[in-house]
Amino acid sequence: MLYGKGSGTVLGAATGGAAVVALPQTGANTTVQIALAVAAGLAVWAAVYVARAKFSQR
Amino acid sequence: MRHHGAALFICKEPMSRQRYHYAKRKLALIIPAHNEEVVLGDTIQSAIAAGQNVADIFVVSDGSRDATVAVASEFVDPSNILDQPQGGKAMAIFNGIKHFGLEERYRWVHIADADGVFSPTYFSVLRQRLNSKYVAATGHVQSLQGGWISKYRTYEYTIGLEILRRIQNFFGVIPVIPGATSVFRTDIIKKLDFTQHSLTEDMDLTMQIHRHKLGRIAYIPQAKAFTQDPKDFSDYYKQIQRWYRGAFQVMTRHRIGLRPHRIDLYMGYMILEEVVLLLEILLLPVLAYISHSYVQVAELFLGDFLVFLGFTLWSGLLNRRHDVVEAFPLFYLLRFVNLYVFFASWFEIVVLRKFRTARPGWSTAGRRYRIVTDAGSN
Repeated sequence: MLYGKGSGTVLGAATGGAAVVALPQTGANTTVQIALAVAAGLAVWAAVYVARAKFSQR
Repeated sequence: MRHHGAALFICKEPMSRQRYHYAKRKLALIIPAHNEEVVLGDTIQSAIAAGQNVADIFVVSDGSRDATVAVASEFVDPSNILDQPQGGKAMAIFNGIKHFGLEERYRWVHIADADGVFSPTYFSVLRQRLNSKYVAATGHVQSLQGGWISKYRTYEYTIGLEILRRIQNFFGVIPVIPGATSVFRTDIIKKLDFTQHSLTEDMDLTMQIHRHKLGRIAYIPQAKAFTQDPKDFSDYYKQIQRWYRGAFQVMTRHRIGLRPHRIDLYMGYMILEEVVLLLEILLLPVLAYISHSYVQVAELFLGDFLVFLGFTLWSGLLNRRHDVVEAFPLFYLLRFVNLYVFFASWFEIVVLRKFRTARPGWSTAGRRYRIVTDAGSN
């Protein structure tokens, strides 16, 4: 699953979703919470994409 | 007298006005090449498959030390190949046009990079659409399939050509006829200066058309050419550095921004866009830190994210390339690198006055890889 096509997108979306659930506990502004969730999702998405690219080169 | 193969043609005009002239063929293709043995054969075959007569294809090898000439000879008659000492791309084009007598033999000359692939109807579309209203023309450029850099380029080309190029075409301010798909009417060749060594000879020639008011440039989106992108980040960085340095060289040389022409206004707008983006990125976090409110930064990021993601999805759908969307988060890195190189190049060329001229070299050394594509069937 981790190295499947689209796995970065799925894991990124899952991370963003988890962040949306967790972030209200910080008491931050809603817009800031959404931005942080999106940023976290993008970071995971990018990391999985790079890992997949490295893995497929071996 | 050298006829260059053109047919002798007698006008059906009254005897007093009857004159002899040569019926020119419509379109020549000239490919300047420097150590292009890996890709040149595929490019020539693609041109033939796209409707270009092999007799109208010309190759200039500019100081190649590999098998470029031998590869060209497999497809093209030796009389259509010029092997010259290295003088740079612009001079290779100019010398080729002169050597093969293309101004006398043809009405239009198409210049193409040695790593190009053409869509199946490319040359027939060009022959239909080129007419005397225009002095030059450019088709649609798209990336060949490749790694994450090619995916970003697919996004960039889609936005740049599907939206911006159409606007530029409407207002007559196309700033560059890209090397992969550039066509010039042969009667303006003598008015163009190919001796100005530039890192971006295609932009320099385009600016000469604007500055000398030679005429309109046509955008023909139905003529699609595919080009090879850098295969890794290092090559990408070098390529955009060359492009931006070249762009500022050309703007400095042609004093862009100092004359009341449309192209000056448009180039000013393009620079303003970059300045606004840079100010947003630099100033907003500082303001947020001072005011202890990150809402504006979050709003800017989310707004940018939605627009950026929307355009990326559109690029993927339009090109039927879902792999473009898969690499989306990495596009942020390349956008920021672009922004950095843009201002670094501006600082080097305009402020420090470095790299004002370029040595006549090529940037393709070690950058080519075998073309593997089904682009020609698109």
